[in-house]
Amino acid sequence: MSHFDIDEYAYLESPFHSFDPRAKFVSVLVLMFSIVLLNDIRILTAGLLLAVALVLISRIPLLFVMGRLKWVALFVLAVVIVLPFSVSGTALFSVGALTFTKEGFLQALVISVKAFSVVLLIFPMLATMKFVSFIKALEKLHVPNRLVQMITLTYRYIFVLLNEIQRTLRSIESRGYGKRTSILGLKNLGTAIGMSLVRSYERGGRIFDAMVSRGYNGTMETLREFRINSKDWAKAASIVAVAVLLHVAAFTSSIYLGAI
Amino acid sequence: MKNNGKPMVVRNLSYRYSDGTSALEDVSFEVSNGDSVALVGPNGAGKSTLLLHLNGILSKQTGSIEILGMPLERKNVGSIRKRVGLVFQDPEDQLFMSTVFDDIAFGPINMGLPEEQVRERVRWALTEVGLNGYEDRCPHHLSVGEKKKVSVATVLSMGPEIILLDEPTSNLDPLARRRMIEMLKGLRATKLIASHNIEMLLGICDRAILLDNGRVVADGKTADVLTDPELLREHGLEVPMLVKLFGSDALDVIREEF
Repeated sequence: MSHFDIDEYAYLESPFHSFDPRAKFVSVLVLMFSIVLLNDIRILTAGLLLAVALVLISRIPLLFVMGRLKWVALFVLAVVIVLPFSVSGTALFSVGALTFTKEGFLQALVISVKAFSVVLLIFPMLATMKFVSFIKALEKLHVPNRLVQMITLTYRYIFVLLNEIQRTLRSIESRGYGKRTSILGLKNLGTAIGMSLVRSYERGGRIFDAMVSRGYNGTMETLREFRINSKDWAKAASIVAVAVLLHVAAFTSSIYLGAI
Repeated sequence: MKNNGKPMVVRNLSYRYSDGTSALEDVSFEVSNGDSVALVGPNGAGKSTLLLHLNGILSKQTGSIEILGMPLERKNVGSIRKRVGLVFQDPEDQLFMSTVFDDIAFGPINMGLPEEQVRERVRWALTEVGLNGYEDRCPHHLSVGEKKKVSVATVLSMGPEIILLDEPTSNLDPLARRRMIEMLKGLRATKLIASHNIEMLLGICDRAILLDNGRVVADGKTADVLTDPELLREHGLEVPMLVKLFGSDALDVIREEF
């Protein structure tokens, strides 16, 4: 049974692919926070362009990026439709009893630009390394071990669980269950999902036994495999510097040009 | 402190699941150093439950278990687990880490070994199972045969003196099964192998313990226990076709074949 390959673009060659996972994760995370904390639409637009540039540098295929962005667009769309009519301020036009305001529109724009920028930055950050490297990076960055264990086990077993659900559904289909919208159909579907949950619970017990039998004592450790070099430091410093510069620019422009 | 060359001594072991089902009833046996012992029985006979006891995963309710001269008690369970490896039936349960390397290194790291030794043990275990170069592979991308071999490697890397294997050849295609059997034959540790593959057990084990309804119903040489059609039929098993056709003459062929 096939599933999408989470490491599909982890083997390309780009400055992001050769970037130490820990340094990459931390520096891009700083840039993300920097963008989220901005409110000046001019600087945010620069941040968005920067995010696009980083995606281009990472060589992740744009079609793949666009495919993922459409799901973000769905959430953003709701904000773009609701905010301009719900925030009070200077009216630009009215639709019946609803008034479209400049302030509401600007807020919607700010939220949209932030959302797209941050999601775009996820690609150079996560899609340029194997998911396993990401997990190891978290471990080496001393993210709480329980959280790392949860991510490790989720990554390991999500495909096993999906296979089990697919098998159960196939088994139901092979026995003539076609009308998914009927009450009986929903009951069957509920049973399938319930059975998968019970099986997962039982598997969880067996996995725990397997872990305990090999000396598990509450923490899950792996060996260190990363080596950070001067290039990594330079890349990380550049990204963090840009993150800081965005705020300097926002501060300066608010003084000289006034806040928007 | 060895127990007169008996690394495994089980006396009057009984176990009931929380719903009251009796899984083991008064089970007693001993295993000598270096032995390869077959554990056979129909589904639900208690084979897996017994194996889980021998590694200290399940705690005995009555009776006693002595492993490598140590009574299986809470204070000893850590050291016993370092010396008794358990290979689970389903490799999806056994392989829980994100890469083959991390999975094989899991036991040695928990044993507190230094990094270089851990790496050396992973390399050695992968060579033993014939999977060099698989270090960075994700377990969910492996074939069932490869998963089974990596499962064995995860235990070998801990350098166990006793290896417990639960259905090591189930779900394997003929070639993968043959390779697994060759690998098992090459293992130097004391082995207890639970399986329905009677031919394989005849080929690689000297002794067989037959369990049914949680009780030991036969314990003797594989050539006696596993070629007795009446006994096996009575307990939901069957002698291999070769033995049916050629009787005890088939044993030489099977041993040569395996």
